[in-house]
Amino acid sequence: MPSVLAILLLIGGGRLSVLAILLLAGAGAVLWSLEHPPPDTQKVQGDVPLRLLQWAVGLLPADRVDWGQAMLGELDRIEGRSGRWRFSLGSVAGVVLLPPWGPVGPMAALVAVALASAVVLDFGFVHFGLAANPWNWVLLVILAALVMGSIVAVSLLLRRPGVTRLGLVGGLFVAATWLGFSGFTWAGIISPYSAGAWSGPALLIGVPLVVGVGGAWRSESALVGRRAARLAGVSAGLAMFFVSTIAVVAIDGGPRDPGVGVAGGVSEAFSNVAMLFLMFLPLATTTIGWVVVTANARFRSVDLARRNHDSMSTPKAAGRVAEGSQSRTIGRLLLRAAVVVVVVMAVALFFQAR
Amino acid sequence: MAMARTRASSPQAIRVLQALAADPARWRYGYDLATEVHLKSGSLYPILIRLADRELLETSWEPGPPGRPPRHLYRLTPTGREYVATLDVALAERSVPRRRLGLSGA
Repeated sequence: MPSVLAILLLIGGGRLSVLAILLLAGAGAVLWSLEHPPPDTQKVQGDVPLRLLQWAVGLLPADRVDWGQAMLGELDRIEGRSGRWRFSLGSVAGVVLLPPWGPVGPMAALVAVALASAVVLDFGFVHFGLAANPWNWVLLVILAALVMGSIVAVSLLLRRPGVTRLGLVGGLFVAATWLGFSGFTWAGIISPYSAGAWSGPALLIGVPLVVGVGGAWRSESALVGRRAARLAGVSAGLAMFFVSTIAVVAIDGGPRDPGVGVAGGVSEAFSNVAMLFLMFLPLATTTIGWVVVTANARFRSVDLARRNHDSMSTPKAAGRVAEGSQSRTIGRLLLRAAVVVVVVMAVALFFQAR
Repeated sequence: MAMARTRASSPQAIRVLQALAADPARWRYGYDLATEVHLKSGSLYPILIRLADRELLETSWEPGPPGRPPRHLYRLTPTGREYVATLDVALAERSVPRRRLGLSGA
């Protein structure tokens, strides 16, 4: 993990400090969570191929679940590590590529956004003569992989029950906020941090926190909340990437260093917006959303366990606790979110000041 | 039923159908079938699903030993057998001119 961060910092310079903090915070939270599972969690058993296939089977719609069970039944009989891996990976690929790929409307809309981004990118590539530089072809391949990866992620998340509406509303909120910070100008869309020194932490930390709080508050379970945060991040990233590619083409890549030509400026602007909207934004939303939702679920389960313990002898008291729990949960959720905002922003500002 | 006849099958699906038709009364496991026709599980299962949707394939469950999941079994339906028979005729008709060409060239 530290080596990954070092590479990221080396590639992006100081601007990646926020990303580094997010990665560190997320990795730490995930590790801590794995080490300290909630007491009521059923321990997952089986090797990695089995768990991978179990995850994929969960993506299948209700009328195809039998086929997932069929794959699990076959995997159970396969001996040997390589054979199990081959069967599991093949089945996972089959499940992921098997239609339906999620609710038709949202999926079609997001695929259309991705295709439109590809069209604008290709136009920019031809119009500004980027094909002459071989590195731009590498950039194009990376961008295509990032967009394709985002679409696959969206498709996987849209197949999960209860995630679509919450995740897409979150995505709209995120995209609208980023657009708002841009001042609805082409230059602002390319570099939304220019609104002020606080805009970076607000967009990459504050907005994801709001998504996390929304996910924790409105979702049926922590799992749904985390998935909704992921969907919000990826869908907002795709939408903003589309808008930003238009912005790059519209203003010829925007301001550039002296001596850098138009083609160089456009190429750099494309890579910057891709990194910002297809990597930073989804990563920040996913990581912070995950932390908020998980933390809330943990506190809630601890509270519930304590209350159950207290109410064993006094049923009337238990009833009163249940009535008041809803309003207290929202209050505590906001309080916890505020504490997390303060801590993370303090750390982020410390790193930025350095 | 008309759907089964009108929709063309892929070469991989035809291999699966022919493997099942070799002993039509016998129930087959997915993994054995994949090994026999040299298909990855990711290709086999979508094919099996499509064949079952077209009612060319019937499925059943074999209960496993205690604590282990059941296994899914497959064999052709009467419609499936009929379909494979028409496929065999079509393939034989297509291969005749090639054989003739081959003989004349020899």
